Amino acid sequence: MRMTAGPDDTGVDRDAELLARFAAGDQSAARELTDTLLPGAMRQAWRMLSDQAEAEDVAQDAMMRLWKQANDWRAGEARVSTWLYRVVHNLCIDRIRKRRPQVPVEDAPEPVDPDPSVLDRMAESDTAKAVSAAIGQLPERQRQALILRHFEGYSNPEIGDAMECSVEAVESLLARARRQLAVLMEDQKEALGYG
Amino acid sequence: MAEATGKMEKLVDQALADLAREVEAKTPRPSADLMARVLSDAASVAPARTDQTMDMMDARPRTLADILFGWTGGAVAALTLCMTMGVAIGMEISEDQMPMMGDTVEIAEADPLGILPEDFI
Repeated sequence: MRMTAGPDDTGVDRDAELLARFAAGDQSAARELTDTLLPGAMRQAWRMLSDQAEAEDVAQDAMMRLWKQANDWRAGEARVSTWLYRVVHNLCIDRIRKRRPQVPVEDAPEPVDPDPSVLDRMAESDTAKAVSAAIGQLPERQRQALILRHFEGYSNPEIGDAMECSVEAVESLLARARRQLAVLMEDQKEALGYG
Repeated sequence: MAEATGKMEKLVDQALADLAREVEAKTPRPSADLMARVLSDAASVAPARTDQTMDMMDARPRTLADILFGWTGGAVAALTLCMTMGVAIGMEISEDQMPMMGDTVEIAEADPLGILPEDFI
């Protein structure tokens, strides 16, 4: 489920190495990067937009920006996967805003990430449905951290990179999200067999 | 109370794992067409980048190697060669084949002031 080859135990960003090879003219590196990054970009866009065609457009657009960025990429500043996550996120937000009726900017609500109804539609078991409904009630930042942790397999440092916050902030968000989910699901525990 | 909290947290973890598994199974994968388009985009970026790289190389400060082996160096080498050839040719030609260098007949004594009238000074 991991979006990327990601950093290994020594902290080396394998994706950044591939990007450097691509910048040097190695097209096989482009194929490797596409194989590792495109599924995650597609998955993230689909979760936010609920439309496969739009998700593919966003994923392609995001990868194109990565190719153009290759020459200027400075290894060590950010992980390729989390940079791509932010690009996909922003592209999806732009599309979501365009879907909505024109309202003054100050009155427009902040777009959510991801669209909870997507998770609701995909949940089959009672337990999954219950937690999906509870996730939809979480504050946006807690929901985002939770999704990255449990649905994208990001580590806490990678979540911090993607959400542009510290690792401590990520740990706090995840802890609060889990506590809030426990509270929201408390009244369903007997129905779910945990009474 | 702590036991109840622990049970609920286990429920939450289990529920999250169940949902993640179901979402993963239903999430669409990139189509072959999308993969091809992305790789085509990568290939299209590469030539433009190569041209940019060439422009960046032309803008680099010229090194000693550039000077020695660039077009200026070639011109200098050609001049040097011509001079060397000229000297070599000149050394090979004997004096009697070069009238200007042989015995000459003095035609007139040079007198720069001779053309002036005697009462000029």
